[in-house]
Amino acid sequence: MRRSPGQRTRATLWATLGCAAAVASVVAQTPKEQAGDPAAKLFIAADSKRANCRTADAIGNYQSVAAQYPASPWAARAVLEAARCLVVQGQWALAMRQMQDVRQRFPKTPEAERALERNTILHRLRLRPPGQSVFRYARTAVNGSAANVQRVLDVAVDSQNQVYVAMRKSVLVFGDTGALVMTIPMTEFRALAISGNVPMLFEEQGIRSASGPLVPIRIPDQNRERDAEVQTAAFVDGDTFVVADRRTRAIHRISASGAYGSRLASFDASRIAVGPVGQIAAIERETLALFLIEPDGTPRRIPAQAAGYQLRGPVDLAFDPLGHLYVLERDSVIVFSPTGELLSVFSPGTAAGAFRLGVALEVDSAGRLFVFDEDSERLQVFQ
Amino acid sequence: MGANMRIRRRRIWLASATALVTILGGAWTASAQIASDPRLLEAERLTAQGEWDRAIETLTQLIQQIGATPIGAESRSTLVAAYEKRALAHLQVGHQPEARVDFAALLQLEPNHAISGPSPGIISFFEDTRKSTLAVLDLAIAPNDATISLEGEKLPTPSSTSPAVPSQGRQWLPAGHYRLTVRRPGYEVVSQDVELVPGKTQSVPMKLRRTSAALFIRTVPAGVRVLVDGAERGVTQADSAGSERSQTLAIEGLEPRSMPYRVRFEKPCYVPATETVTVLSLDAADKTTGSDPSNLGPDRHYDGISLRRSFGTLDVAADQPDAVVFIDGESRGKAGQPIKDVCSGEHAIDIRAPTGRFSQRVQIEFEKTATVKGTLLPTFALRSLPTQDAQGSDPKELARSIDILRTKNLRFVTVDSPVAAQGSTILKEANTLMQQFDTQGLAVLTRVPPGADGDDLELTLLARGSSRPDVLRWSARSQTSVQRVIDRLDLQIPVVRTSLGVDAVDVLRMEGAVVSAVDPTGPSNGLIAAGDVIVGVGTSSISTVQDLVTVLSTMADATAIIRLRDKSSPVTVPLVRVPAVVNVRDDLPFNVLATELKARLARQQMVRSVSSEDVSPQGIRLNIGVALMALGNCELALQMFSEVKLENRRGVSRGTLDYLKGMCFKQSGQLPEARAHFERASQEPDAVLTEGGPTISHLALLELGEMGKPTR
Repeated sequence: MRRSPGQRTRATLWATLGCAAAVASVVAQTPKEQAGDPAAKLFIAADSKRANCRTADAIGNYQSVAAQYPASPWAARAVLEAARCLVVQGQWALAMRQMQDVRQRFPKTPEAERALERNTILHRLRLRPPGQSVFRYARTAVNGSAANVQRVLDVAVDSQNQVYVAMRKSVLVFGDTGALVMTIPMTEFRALAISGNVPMLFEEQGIRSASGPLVPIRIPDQNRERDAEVQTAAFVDGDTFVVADRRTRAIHRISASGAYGSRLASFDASRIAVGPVGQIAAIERETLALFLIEPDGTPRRIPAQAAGYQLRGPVDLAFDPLGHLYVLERDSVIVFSPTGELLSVFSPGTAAGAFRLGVALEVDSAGRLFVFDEDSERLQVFQ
Repeated sequence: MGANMRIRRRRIWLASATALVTILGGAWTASAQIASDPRLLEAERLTAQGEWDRAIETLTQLIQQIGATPIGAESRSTLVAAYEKRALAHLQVGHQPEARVDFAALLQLEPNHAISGPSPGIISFFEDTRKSTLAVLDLAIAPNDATISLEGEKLPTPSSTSPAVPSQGRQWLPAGHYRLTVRRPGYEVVSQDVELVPGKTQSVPMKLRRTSAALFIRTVPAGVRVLVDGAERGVTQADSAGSERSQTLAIEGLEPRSMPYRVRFEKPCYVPATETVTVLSLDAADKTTGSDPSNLGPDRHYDGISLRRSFGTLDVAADQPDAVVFIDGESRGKAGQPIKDVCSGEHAIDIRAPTGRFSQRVQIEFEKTATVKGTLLPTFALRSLPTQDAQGSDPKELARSIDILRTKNLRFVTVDSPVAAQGSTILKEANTLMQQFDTQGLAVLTRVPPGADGDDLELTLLARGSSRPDVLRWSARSQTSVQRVIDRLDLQIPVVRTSLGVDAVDVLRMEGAVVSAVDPTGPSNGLIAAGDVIVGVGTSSISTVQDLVTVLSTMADATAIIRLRDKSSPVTVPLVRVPAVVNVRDDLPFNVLATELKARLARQQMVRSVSSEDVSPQGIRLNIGVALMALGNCELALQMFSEVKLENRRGVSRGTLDYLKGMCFKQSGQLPEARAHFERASQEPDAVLTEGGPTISHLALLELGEMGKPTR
């Protein structure tokens, strides 16, 4: 597929996103007892190269983990990471082959499950025949009128397929079968960020767990600390979250305990999404323009219009595990590759599961779309 | 009676010949001894000159000298001659008393001595002396072929024991007390005390009581086992005189019965012979029995059982080239050529090739061909080491514990060799021992302190050319651990796989194998497209990629009918066989793997119909090379890789080979060669290290990056 000069610039930008964020996160995630594992060391070296945007070298190192320690669990992880890099490089077919090898060589492991999910994503985005919709309506996860769900602000899915539907004064948790399993009362809901199976809830001025007390977030502003005015937030990795603060009109890093980390970017975001290797995308609150935040905090605007798509007013966004970016418009979802290539514009129209007033978007680990349609008051699932 | 036998039966006077040699001396014998002693010759010369006194003096010195030492056979003859000559000298000078004393002394040595030549008067004088100093034993033994032995202090032999004397007639003996023992096979043994008085004749009549029939057997050749009714009764011994016929073997104990005795004569490498003997009565001493009218009495005399040489042919086929056949440890030539001069009987057959061995016990029959088809297996010489702890253990018992590891890939032969020390010595001694035992590997079994899993047996395996042993642990008490080790030893890796030339993946909620890519140079190009979903191959349903892999791995057909979801009709796709290879870092028993693959390659070389398109030899060589790399022998690995030719294609291909060679050159310190191969490998984007495994181009680029820029 030929690219315009503009597209090429965008691809370069997208490919470098998340480099700086990733290195610290992977090292931090490595358990201390595995630090002496030579496979783990090589894996970390590969991660470091990826974090330094040396993607080709990183692939070589990841492949080297698999070559030198073929029986190690790190080999499976390395192949998954190599595959993710290969997707960034556009070699999605090779990535699929390698992830299938994880399934063959490491059956019944979490990595094999991840490989299946990610090949499902690539199959959906890359292999669907022309003329066939990328997504198909699967089911209605939550019927808002039946469950008294109105004015939804956010949705999320954890690794056990529990669905979180957030409203201003409460967050409802639905089980895999659609039954309501929990209601979490809120004072002034702002954001929901799930780390694994642990939901962290953001109120206007603080962070809390589902059952814990609100911990205030204090953000430096003009040589003094002030209470945050949280607009939105997202989970990065480990203990780190990013928070968009309305008062400072900036994105900050904080910990799960509310401790302030650092200022990431001067950007007034209404919604933030963090990708699998730390790449950050955000919607500007006032203009509803879509931006990618570079590792140094520089926001780069994604053109509102290009061949094949036009962004009229993004309302939410999300990354899948391979770094594809999904952008929710009122009645459609636009999917970009990790390098910024437009992959799909999904609009169910009047078909089953059609939505006309999408307000919240979530993408789960298998790339399924969860879209809450304010018009029908339903959370629709597409796969 | 067998047609191939020559039987001569006659009575043998066993005892007589022996007794004559032992007891009787003769003048001619004495004369011969005279010539041997210069003093006797001197005495002879003096008597001829009539110097009787000087002759007596000379002979007296000789007699005194001989009498001062123990008397042997030769000195006894000299002494007899000296006494005789001195007695004759005394008579010449009129000293009759002294002459009588000398004759008496002579007769104590040789009671039946005879003198010749002198005058009748001297002979009469000599005989008078015999009569007055000796006694006569007069024997009348029945049967007359019995063996008689005398024991007594006065026996005129150095040992005082006479092995045999004639069973009939009179004989002179020194007076005294004797014990007479009479033996004859088939008769009871009788002993009797006899007191002999000088000048008296003692008559001893004796008739032995028959107890059984007896066989008297001589065979050509000697060394023949004689079995009576299947029970071995003796082996014929070689004749000391050098005759081709053996000494007589006497077998007794054949009691009367209506059923004939079956007598079998056996010797390895000879055609066995059989005789039947009927013993109806022990009283039939004068009656004819059996088929031979000359055969009298219940005994049988087989005087010339002659066995014919017996050969068969051994035809050995081996499934590996350059196999040598050993029969009972002796090299007998190459397999595939009939060996026609194999002695009949059971033999240990050992077939040895550079890549394996085969052993079997084979029965060779006279003028028949025995066929052995040897499936050679890599063989490890097994040594047992003492325990590593202080408890100690029997090495033989330890070696037996290997028997529970019944493997298909290899076998163990227990060897006995001195053990210098434990553990690492296997590496130092390995090559020497493998050559010594002519095996493909060396194994050491050790009892070790039990680990947390209870494993207390440790098997260390080292193949030829390896410097990195495989170590397997198990416990004989745990079937699980035993099976685990057997599974590792039985591992047979696939060296080729059947391919459609597509990549396929599993997708959630989708039945079938989803095609993610199609090799543009492969057999499915144009027939199957990316995105197609394979739901069936032939009659097999495909739900997952694993199903597809499994079905394809069992297919030997040239084509496969592929059913695709959403496609109305199936497509027929040619199947291709492509190499498959293991990773040098896989957790595999590479010592076992290397020997098994070499044997597999050797077997393929025996099959002349291998097509040039058959990639399995390439796959085997490729995997042998990888195994050798894993065993630390890059030199041999490179040799093996040099014989591999792979195409430039997706999957395991030419780039794979270049990368592996590069790794070998790198390990060998040959960096320019390594770089050249890595550079070539980096240009092969579709090559992988193992099927579905890491991509060669990325690994090669990484190596090139680590090697830095070449120095110029």
